Amino acid sequence: MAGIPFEEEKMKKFVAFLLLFAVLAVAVVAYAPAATAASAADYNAIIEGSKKENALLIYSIMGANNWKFLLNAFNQKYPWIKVDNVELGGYEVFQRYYSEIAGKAKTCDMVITTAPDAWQDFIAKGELAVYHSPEDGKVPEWSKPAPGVYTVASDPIVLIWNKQSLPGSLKSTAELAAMIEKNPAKFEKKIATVNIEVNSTGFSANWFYIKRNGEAGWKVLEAIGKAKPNLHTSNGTVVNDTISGAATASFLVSGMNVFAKLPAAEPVMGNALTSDGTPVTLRSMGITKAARNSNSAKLMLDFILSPEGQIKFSEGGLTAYRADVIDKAKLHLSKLAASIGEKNLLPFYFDKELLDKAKTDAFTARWKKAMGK
Amino acid sequence: MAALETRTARSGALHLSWDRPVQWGIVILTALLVIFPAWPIIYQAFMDMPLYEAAKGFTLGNFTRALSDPKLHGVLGVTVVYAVLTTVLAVALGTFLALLLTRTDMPGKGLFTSLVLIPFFISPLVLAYSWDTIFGTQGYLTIVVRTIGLPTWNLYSLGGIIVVSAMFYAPTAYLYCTASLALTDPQLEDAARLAGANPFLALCKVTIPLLRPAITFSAIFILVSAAEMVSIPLVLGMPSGLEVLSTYLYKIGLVGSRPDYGGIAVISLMLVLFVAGLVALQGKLVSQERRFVTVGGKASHPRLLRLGPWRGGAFALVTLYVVIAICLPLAGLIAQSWVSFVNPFINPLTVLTTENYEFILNTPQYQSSIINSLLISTFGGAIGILFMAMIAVTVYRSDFRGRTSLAYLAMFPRAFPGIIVGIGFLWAFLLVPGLGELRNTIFALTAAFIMRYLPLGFSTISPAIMRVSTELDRAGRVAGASWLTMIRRILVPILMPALMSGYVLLFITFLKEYSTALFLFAPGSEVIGTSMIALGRNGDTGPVAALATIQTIITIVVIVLSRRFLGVKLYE
Repeated sequence: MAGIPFEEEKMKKFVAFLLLFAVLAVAVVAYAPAATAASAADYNAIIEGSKKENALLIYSIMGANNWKFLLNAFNQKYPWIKVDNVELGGYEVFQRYYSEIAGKAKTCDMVITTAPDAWQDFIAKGELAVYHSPEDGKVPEWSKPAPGVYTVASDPIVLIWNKQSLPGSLKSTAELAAMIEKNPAKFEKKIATVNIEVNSTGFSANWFYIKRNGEAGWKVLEAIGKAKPNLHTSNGTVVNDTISGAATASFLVSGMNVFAKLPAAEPVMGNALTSDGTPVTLRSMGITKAARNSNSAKLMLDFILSPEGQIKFSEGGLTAYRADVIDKAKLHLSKLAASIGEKNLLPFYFDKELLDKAKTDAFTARWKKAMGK
Repeated sequence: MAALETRTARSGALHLSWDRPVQWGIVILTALLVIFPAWPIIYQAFMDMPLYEAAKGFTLGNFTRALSDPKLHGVLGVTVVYAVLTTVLAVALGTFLALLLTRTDMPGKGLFTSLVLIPFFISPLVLAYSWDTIFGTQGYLTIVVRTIGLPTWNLYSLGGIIVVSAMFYAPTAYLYCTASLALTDPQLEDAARLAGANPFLALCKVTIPLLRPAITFSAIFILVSAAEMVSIPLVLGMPSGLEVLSTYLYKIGLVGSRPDYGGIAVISLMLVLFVAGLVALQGKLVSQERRFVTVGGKASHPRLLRLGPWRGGAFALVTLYVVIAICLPLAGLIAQSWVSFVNPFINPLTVLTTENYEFILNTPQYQSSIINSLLISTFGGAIGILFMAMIAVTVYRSDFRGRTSLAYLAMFPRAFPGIIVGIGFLWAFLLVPGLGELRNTIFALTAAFIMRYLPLGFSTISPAIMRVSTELDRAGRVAGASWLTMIRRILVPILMPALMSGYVLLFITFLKEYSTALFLFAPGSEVIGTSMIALGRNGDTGPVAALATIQTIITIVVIVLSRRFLGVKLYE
């Protein structure tokens, strides 16, 4: 068969091309940047869109002191975006949103709070606008409790004490409880913590502490309750009382409020991560469905997740968690893990049990009884 | 004569006057303003879900649930004890001070009469924070007393908040008593002296009994105010779990995880009914007060009680009161605004800083709260006093048939505690279609503040109107002026001093206001009071003190300037 070789030659070339093409295609698909996020052109659309929007309104549980470094950097990057942060209580952020959308009033574009129970309610009501951030692939899985919900910071819940009234150091909540049990009168009304009925971070901190320690955890709380602790509405006043000496020690306090006062208060306030389980808050953020400035909100969300955002927020007292900023951020989760061991960290998560009102009511009732109320 | 005839002839001709429409307009506007926040509360009390839920239905469950709640009974008990004891202490203190400062020959009277009234012009919120800096668990004075070994007190107790509230209300009782004492005919005391009574006996048997209406009146006023007081129990009571009705409402309405709106509405209604009852009682007592009027031709000066050896003691006592209740707390407040944190063992001078003021003045949120407060006080106060003046003039100087009802309407807001006015306005804005956007503006706050203080303006202007003889109006009417012209050309110029006083009073009151704004403010419409509470809640005591100092300075400047340039004398 003499007339075939030419076609064979062509055939070989064709197959070679096919193979090359296949290899290239696989290479492109495997190594291309995540196509889930907007492409560069799309991102420009977001930036351009934000220029036409009004002030970005955020309801968060952080105050101006925590935001200021991040806001400065954000405004340098996007000078046309004005940011209004309203500091509200952990549950109040959602309650305000619900009543505002009902009255078709202007409401927030973004919510930042720690309450895993209230977040699940929010998502179930369909009020979360699911946005897929370009930084999605660069943050750990545990920091993404639900699609569209990302983590601002992972602040530890700590133990603090007044150095003048309590020389030495404490290592765990159980140690504090033992000290109180030995001499309840000495500590009477000199212990502070937040009231979990009205403080979302406090509720979750206690919830996950008990989840780890079970009945032993309840015993610790009941022992502390013998000192009739003062229950505060916010972590800020707990920290204040400890600094001034009105409280000798305070347990399960939000690290954000503690770190914001250091190093100035270092001479009078000691702090420690507890070895019997340090809850770690998931300070979560999400864009609301009723947002009117969603482009600006997206830019803010991406900025907070970015390395620069993480570093700036840690200057404001929040604990960064992104792996690539471990050396540059003032406060970092990995450093915490190194000091007490990863297994002692109890990160918050969207526990389905929190949706069960009967369970949460029972928990609150038992907690109040333990605190002597 | 000819001119007069022409004018009369002209007025005889048929022409449409603006009088009646304006009067109707005032009545309708007042009715709307007053009822606007009231009906959503009544509505919500009977709904089983929050007002903004579409699926809500009628229920009486809110009442049964709220009224059978043992926690509420406890709170009610505490509120009653708090209100009654505060009243007793405040009236005793105020009366005692009034007698000492007007009827005795105590030294230093001039200075004390000015100082004693200071709490009157300061927001109770500011006073609560100030007291905390001096008498709190880690207050400056508490530490001093503790270090020298004496027993200390607990400010965060029922006793503590009663004492602070009594100090706050004492000037009210003082004012009522001094006003009454100024009107008492000294000849009655002279008669007692002539009959052989010594000065002290004359004081006890004649002067004090004559003070009965002032005492009763101020007692009821203070009781009503204490029942609705939010700030002092909030700042000093909440840390130890002590709750009164108003702070209980604040807790379950604003900071809880699942607010019980129906329950809030029921409790609000209860509070309104309670206060309305007291106000009605107050009205009844006013009518009885007539028989205590003893103003005669003042031919003689009231005889002062000679204290003799007690002069020094009285001086010391009043100085102690003024220093403890007023000077120390204010000094503590100012001191706290200049340090970065408070610890009694750290010398304040080593932590001196301007960062608190910088923080307040550089953060947009707090800048706008100061500006908003000033805007609301300046313009809201002006609009408010004009509106209230028109109401008063319609009630007392027109022949409008519904004018007595208008007077009741104007006094109706007295029964509404500030926090409930805020809740009512919030819900009303959410429910009335189209008004949702207005809710986030300072117009909403201005309207709420004006509604709340309608009785204040009305009762400030009414006495001034009543003192003007009706002959002047009638002269104007006879000359052919319409009612509106008469008001514009005759009454308003005469009433100008009262209007100025009323304006300055409203300005200061709006500046201090916080409870009405608690539920109603939105980002962009925050005021000084709400920012202070938010900062205090977060434990930022330095910035709170800075903001409070700024507010106090503005108030003092306004009072001094208005006295100098407008001749407004808010105090003698």
